[in-house]
Amino acid sequence: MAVKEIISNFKLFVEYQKIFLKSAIEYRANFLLSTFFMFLNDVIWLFFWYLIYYKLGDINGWVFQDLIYIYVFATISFGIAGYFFGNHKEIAELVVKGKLDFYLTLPKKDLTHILISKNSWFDLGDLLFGILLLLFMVSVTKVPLILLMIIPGVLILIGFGILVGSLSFYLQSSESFGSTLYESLISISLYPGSIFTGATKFITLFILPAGFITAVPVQLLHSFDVTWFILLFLFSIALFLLAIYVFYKGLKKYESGNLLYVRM
Amino acid sequence: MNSQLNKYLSISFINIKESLTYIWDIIFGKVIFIALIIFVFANLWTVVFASKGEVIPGFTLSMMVWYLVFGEALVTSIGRFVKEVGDDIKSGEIANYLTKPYNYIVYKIFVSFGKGLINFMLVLFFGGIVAYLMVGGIKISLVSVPFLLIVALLAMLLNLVIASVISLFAFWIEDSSSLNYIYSKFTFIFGGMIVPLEVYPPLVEKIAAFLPFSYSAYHPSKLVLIFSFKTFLEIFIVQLLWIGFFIIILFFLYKYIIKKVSVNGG
Amino acid sequence: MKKEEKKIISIKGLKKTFKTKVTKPGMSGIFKNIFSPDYKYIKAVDNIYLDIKEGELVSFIGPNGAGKSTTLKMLSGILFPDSGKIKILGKDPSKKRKELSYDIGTIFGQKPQLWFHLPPIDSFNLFAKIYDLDKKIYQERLKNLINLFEISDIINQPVRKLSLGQRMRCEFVLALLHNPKILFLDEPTIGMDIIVKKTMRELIKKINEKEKTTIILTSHDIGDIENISTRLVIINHGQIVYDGDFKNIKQKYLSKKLLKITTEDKIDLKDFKDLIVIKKSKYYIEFEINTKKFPLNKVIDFLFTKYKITDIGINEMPIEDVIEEIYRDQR
Repeated sequence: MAVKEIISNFKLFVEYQKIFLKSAIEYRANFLLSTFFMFLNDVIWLFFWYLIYYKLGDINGWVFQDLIYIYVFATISFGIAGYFFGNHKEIAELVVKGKLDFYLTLPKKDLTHILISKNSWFDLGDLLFGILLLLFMVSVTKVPLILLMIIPGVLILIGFGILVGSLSFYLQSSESFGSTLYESLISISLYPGSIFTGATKFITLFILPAGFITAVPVQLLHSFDVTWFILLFLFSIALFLLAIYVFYKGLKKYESGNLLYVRM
Repeated sequence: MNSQLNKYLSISFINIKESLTYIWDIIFGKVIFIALIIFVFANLWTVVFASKGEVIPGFTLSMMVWYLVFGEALVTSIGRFVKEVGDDIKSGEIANYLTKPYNYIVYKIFVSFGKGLINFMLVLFFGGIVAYLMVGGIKISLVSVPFLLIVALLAMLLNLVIASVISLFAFWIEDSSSLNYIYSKFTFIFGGMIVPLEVYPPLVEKIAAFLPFSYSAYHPSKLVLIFSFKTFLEIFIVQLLWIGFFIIILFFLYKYIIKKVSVNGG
Repeated sequence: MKKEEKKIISIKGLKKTFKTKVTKPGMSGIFKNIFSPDYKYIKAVDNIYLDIKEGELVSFIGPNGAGKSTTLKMLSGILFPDSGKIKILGKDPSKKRKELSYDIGTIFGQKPQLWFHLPPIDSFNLFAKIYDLDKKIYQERLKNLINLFEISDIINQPVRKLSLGQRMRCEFVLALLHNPKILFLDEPTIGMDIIVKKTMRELIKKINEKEKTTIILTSHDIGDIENISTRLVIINHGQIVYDGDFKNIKQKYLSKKLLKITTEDKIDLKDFKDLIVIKKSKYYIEFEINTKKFPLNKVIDFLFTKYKITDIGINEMPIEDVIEEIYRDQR
């Protein structure tokens, strides 16, 4: 039963990928531009850090190569989460504008179907940038461990996106606040982890869990520690499960875009 | 001429009023995010200063952080200008404005100016709180304030004029949000919004300090921290020159595009 | 002949209330909204009882915000009722939503489900995967539907290049791919002109007759359902105002028409003295006629012989007026 469901969901995933590909071909110019600009954006930021490190040498012990690792973890996990599960950033919009109706009237599991049914070309630029960094700026021996530790990053991004998006079930007009939180998570994950100490470090790990997307994996690349490794996976899975729970709990309050604003 | 200016200024004023009704959306949507970035950099400079001391001679830790507060307040005040104008051009919406008794681009600039002033003050206020709590305050002499305001206003204007030119490129490059993205990154980094240009290697610093972007971020922000009447005058003059330069480009580019738009209907 | 025995949908005492924030303008209003917002409660659906038999074609008619769509959304399991019971094919949609989705097809007028920039066939293939249709069965079904809706030459063109009528045909095929027993159509005629509406009516009738699909459709315009629906349910303020034969309503209340005429000659008010004139200017007049007293063809014949008419519009009475008259009669 479960296996059958996974296979059928995978088939649907493939069908959606086909559709995305056709859309990209239909609008190739836009597609290439979006992808290219995101790529360029990443190049500019990495260049910025190169300039900073040129002057400073290291930031609290972290050198430029560490920042490359940060960008590898960040861009590849943004890319996977955003390109293949693009709707994890759009939950609030789906809720507020009543766009969940579509999924609710169809037989597939709601959240699974929601996640796989949108892609973003921007994030493909991220993904390509990350893969290029991985191929040319990272020693081969580190690649398997890096790939393994991208999984929790993807889970955290998707889980956090669903969590803040689900706020919209409970609070009217929390849309922009939710996306600010998500943007903050993305931003913080792009800084050298060594700048966060004490209470701030705790916050970047357990409140806005950016640390688990980049800083912890980079630390583990340097000095492998079983406890942190297990914590990384446990935390990301727990966050992901929590997100699923909160989403379905909130779904009971779904009002299908019937929120009328009455002006007095 | 005077009534013209009055017309546009009233457009700015209406947008200030409108921004005030959405003030909580602005704070929760954008200002908190900017305050967070300031917080992150306050952390970064704190650890760097702890191990290395002053990165740029004469720049204390609190100056580094307050520099970013001013930079953010100035630069982010233009919002998503390039995208908004770019979308209007791309969709042909711009043709609808041609019948109105005002110039579309000037109209848009004054709209953003109005919204931008609110944004400027909000970022200054909330970013300032973060900076004060993290690294303490800085000294600004009262005498310099009127001059700083002039430079700040011109900085925002310059940013808007350059953004206008960039946004017109949406006529050829379809994707206006990408244009917006890249232009803002350019001002962040090469305009010196995030860090003083002195942090970069000398060659990069020299080029960036010459480029127009730095006159909407780096030069004005630094002037707040290290004021002298002579630098004020220099910045003021160069800002005017750059604004004039871009207005000329804008004028011809806009005319060309309008001609195309009215022929093809967008 | 339709089967009369089997109940396919039953609704008992259905209620749904929405809580909405009242926003107030101004600075003090903003603060108040954040810290102690005022709420307003709107009864969208208020104690509805309804049974629908297999193969029936039922129309929910009512003004905007009357609760038609909310009812339909509760029937499809999108919204949860505050109280009351719904049974569709013996199942409760709020608990067995996914199971029921195999038996229900939906078309929401404002939310097209076809991929706008791709050919319809891509959307069809996607839906086949969504419903886990067996390849053979799907191909067979698709072939039949393509013939039934006459879309064979457009399924490979991007949807954005299709006309509204063609798009609608494809939307119907998409909703019927999984061979549902029940079809929900929420405001399907919204934004359509008279010709497309006519096509729509024909399609709905076709599906009901050929596929034996039970259909519930909603509309705010009673004219939309002329000639197709036998059973009419009028809903207002979340309550059923009328449930019965469309013919009765038609004879009793829809005998009134609204005529709008533009002429080249000056209009003489004496010609309209027995009629209720709503608006009048030199060359334009808007009036109500009761077709029982003044048959429509006679009125028009008279007008055309007397005047040089440049434009004429014949409209149904707005649903709000019909409802008002029903209330008046009930009192």
